[in-house]
Amino acid sequence: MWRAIRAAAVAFALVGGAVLVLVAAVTVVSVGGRWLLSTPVLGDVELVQLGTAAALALFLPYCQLHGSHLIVDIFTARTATSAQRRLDRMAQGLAAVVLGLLAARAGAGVLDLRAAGETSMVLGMPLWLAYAVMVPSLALASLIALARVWRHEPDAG
Amino acid sequence: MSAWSALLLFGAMLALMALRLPVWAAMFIPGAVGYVVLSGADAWLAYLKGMAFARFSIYDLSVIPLFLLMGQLATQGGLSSALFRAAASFVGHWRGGLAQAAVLASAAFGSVCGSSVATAATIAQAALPEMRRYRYDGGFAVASLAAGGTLGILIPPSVVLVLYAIVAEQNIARLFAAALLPGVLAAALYCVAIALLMRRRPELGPAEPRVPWPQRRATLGGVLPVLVIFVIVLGGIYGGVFTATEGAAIGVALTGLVGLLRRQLKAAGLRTALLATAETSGVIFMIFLGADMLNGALALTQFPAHAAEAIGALPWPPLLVLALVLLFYIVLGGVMDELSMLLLTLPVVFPAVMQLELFGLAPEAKAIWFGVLLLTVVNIGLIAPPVGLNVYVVVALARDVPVAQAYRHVGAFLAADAVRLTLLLLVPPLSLWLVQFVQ
Repeated sequence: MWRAIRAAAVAFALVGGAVLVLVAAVTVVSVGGRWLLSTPVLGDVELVQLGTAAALALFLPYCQLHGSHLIVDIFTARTATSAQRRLDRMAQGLAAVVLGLLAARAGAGVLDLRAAGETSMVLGMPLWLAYAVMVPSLALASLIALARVWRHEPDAG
Repeated sequence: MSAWSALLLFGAMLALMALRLPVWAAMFIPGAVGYVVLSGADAWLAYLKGMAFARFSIYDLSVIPLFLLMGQLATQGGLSSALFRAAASFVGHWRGGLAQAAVLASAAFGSVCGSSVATAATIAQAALPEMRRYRYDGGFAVASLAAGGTLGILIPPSVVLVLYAIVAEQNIARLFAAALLPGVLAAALYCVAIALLMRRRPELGPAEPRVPWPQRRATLGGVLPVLVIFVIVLGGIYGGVFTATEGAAIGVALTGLVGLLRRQLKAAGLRTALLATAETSGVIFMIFLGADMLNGALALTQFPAHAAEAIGALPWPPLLVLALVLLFYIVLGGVMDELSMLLLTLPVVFPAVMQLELFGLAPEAKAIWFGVLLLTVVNIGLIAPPVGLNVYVVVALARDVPVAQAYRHVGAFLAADAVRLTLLLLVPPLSLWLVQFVQ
């Protein structure tokens, strides 16, 4: 189970990275087109916005897996390691709750957008599609935080 | 009343940070509670629906992951070690020369990388084995690499300046132009600091043998791609040919291309670059989310507006108020990470500073100059005890150097920073002169 979760987090991050590379590629083509042919890619700004948002969301489970988020450890530097571990478990639990809540609310946001039928300005893409990437990403991040309440060690993946 | 609730929110945040909660959650949770208390659960739940997407899909912020990816590709493409080899072949035969080479290589790498932590880590990987071979003092080596790493944000592109540009609603290209001369000044002062330290403690950084000229010239081939990428990317942004986001995207393409042409960037390296970008971007944007939540609650208390007015109306000389603001940041940077510090305080501090009458500067010039001053303060926070993030990064790579030993040698670099901050504070043209050339 844990191995599957770990593989999923790495896969999410790599897909997010690929999306980011794609965002860069579209932008480069657009700048080139504007310069050489004075025809930029239609809706390039939108593609950058939606693509970056999707990529950033896809990065979150990996950060949770890897224990990348910054913590301030000077106040507990002299506390016993076992006490630090207990605090870290509690922190993971709280993070799981917050991330889970964010996932649920993003889900509600997707349903709203779908019902309203909102589309992007230039290309007319349904906005809920890009928005929908947030939900599994935040949910997976929440799941990893939950799992790490019991499984302390950060994982390089 | 408003001041008390704001103080309560800040206090709760600091308490949660002390309990080892991730910084983003330590901001998010008090912010959420404050929001619910001040405007009700329904309003809060409605706000939560869109907050992550709203923050992640801001066009101007997309430069952050793109510049991070560019820096990672430059690392995996072997550009950082090429830069260090070139710099070391020119100055390595001086005492402390390898440390100066690390500073120069960091400055050059900073011109294609917007993150100080990434710069410190990548140059350290190239420089530490060499410094160890010539029996450099471990603490001195770590201190110079940590300080050199801050050039990653001091020399444009810079994640911190992008963040400031968004929060203060300023032009990114002009901020990048303003930071250029101060960044070069920082590198020069670090080299001077190393030279002065070597006079008193020559045993810290033994000289390596002189490299003959033909070999020196040969190393310059590794510097050329970085120079070309910098000129195209930053030149295009300064010249108004493309936006910062477009520049970053072109930078990603060029850096990737150079890595492929040099046959250094392979599938494994690409994977590492993508995962490292994922990690740093995710950390930064979760801090954005946490700060958004807390700032949302703080704005409801109306404390930021009142506090800004009060600071702006202090009956003291404006330059003294500004100096105190910078001092406050240096102290706060000792217990908080620099990004959340800026995100949480700028809603108060920026309007306050804009009210001050400083050298008769126009509002836009003042905003840009203040951005450069803030950058310097952030850079001090990154290497100063008790929590200098860059020092921790390099210590983790060196493995056998205790943090305390590194901090013992950070003083020389902090002195250089103090000199630079004073110069930048008293001589605004150092930051503003180049801005006039931006289209």
